[in-house]
Amino acid sequence: MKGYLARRFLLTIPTLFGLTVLIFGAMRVLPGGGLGAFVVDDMVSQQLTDVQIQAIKRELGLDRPLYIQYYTWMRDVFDGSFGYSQSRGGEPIKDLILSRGVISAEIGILSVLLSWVIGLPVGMLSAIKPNSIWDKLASTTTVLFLALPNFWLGLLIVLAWVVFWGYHPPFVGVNPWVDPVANFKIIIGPILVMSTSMAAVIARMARSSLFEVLRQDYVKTAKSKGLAERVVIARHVLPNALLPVLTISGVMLGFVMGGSVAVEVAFTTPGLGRSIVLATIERDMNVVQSLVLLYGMIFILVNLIIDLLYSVLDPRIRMS
Amino acid sequence: MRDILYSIVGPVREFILTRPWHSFWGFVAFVIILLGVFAPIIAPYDPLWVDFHNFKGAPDSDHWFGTDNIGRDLASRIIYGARSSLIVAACAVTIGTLIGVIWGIVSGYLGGKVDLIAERFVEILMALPGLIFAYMLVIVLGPSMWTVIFALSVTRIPTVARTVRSVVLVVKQSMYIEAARAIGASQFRIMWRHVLPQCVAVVIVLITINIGGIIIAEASLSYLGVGINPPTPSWGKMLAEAGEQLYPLWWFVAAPGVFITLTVLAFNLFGDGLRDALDPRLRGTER
Repeated sequence: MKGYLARRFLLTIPTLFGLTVLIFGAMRVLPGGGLGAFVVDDMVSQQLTDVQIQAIKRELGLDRPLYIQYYTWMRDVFDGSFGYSQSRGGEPIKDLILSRGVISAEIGILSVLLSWVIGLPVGMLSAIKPNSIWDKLASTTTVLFLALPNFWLGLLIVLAWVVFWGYHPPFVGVNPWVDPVANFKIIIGPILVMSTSMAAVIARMARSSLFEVLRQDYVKTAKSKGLAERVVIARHVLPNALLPVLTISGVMLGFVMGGSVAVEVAFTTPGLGRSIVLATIERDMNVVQSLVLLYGMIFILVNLIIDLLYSVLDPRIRMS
Repeated sequence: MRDILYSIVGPVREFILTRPWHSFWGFVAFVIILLGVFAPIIAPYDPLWVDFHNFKGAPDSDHWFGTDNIGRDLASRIIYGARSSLIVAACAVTIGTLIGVIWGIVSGYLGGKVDLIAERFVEILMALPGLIFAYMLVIVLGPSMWTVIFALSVTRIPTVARTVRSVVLVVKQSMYIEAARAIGASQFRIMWRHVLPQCVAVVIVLITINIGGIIIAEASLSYLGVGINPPTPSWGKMLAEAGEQLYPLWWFVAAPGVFITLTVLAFNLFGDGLRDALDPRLRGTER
């Protein structure tokens, strides 16, 4: 158990290192020299001369040797400033993360929680009464929500709000401890959209996983012992069936974080995902690379925690 | 030739007879593919043609889905958008699967150090949320259809490699692989003739399941402004243009979203049916 934990923990270090090299390399070495969108995207700059491109490169610090650029970036990441924004007059990216990250974190955490609250009961109901009307209804809804692009759902909600309730998109973020009501208004839309699509995945996974466990011999034994259905499910079925659902939540988090960028844009939420898009438009390469790294780090960290939880919850791994 | 034909017709007929619901969605997917392939014949207007007398026109008999903010026919743009979506999905799925399969087979079959290193690379590629990774690649390379295809295929490689590898690890233990090795078949020959055929079912399933995900990812990238370059019609870009309106009009938002959903739904449900038919063990695996 200790060996497993140590191994799992140590293996994240090369992954994290590889991640920084991957992001850094992609932003520098690929054709376009890290300027791809920053030059082509803009209509005017399509006629940029070589001299102008060199000037932009110097301004962004791209003319320095690669190892110095990488070293500078890593130094900034390790001292916690995450580098300095080029479009915001050298403001540390840490400030951007702190001011906008709260809303994105709220949306992420609450949508995951809500998706469990919605998805689990639906999946359980389907698995306990397979092929019932509820099961059919649940699986139809699930399949539909898996196919809906969640930013489109967001646009539809915004459209309905604008038309029926005269909704104003939020311009600045409000932290929950400053004004809970204003904060709630900003996060409720994205949470609704993100949690429904996640709940679909959870429900689907819970159904197949529960279905599998319900057919196991030890469940039959428990039932033939005369235990009440409720007790069998709570004590024997759920603990075993929920483990795969936990794992899929970690994998799904990737979809959630990726999808949240588009959802935040749809709702014009002042969160981190939209900051990446804004930074691209403002040609702020430092912000893009550090925020992408941040998303990768959170993803790795959460999956590490889930793996550790898994090994604590599953005696088969705990004992070996 | 007749043998090949029979070997295809038989299973297809069985699939349609035993799984009418999934076959129906397979048919829908087929219709959408036809829509994309024959877009120039089917589309009522040129997708770039501007009707100067009809900006932001509501749907009517001339323009079934209305016109956009500069008077282009939305129905035609949707039909051409199917083309862009499907080209991206088909290319990205093919490239991503091809590389992923080779990666998975080599890593799983050779094992040892090769596997250890290949697995680290897979882990690094998996460490970034797919869409964010793709977004980064596209902004670095500059938005265009080919960079979108490149970015989306790269994000598919690790999952394909991982799934194929897990199949290979099982296949590797079989007697006939050992037999092939005993009679002196080369590593390459074993992988090509004996391991690869065992992965076909899994790969077909992975392809159909991935297509839906790629269509949504392409739409998201275009929506974020780094997808296929305008004025080429793309569903995601149409939604982005709808979102830019101060007062969004419902027909701007409705049609592209409905078509994305319909296409993804069709491929997902057809894929589910295919998965159950080909490999029941994969039941419950997610995209």
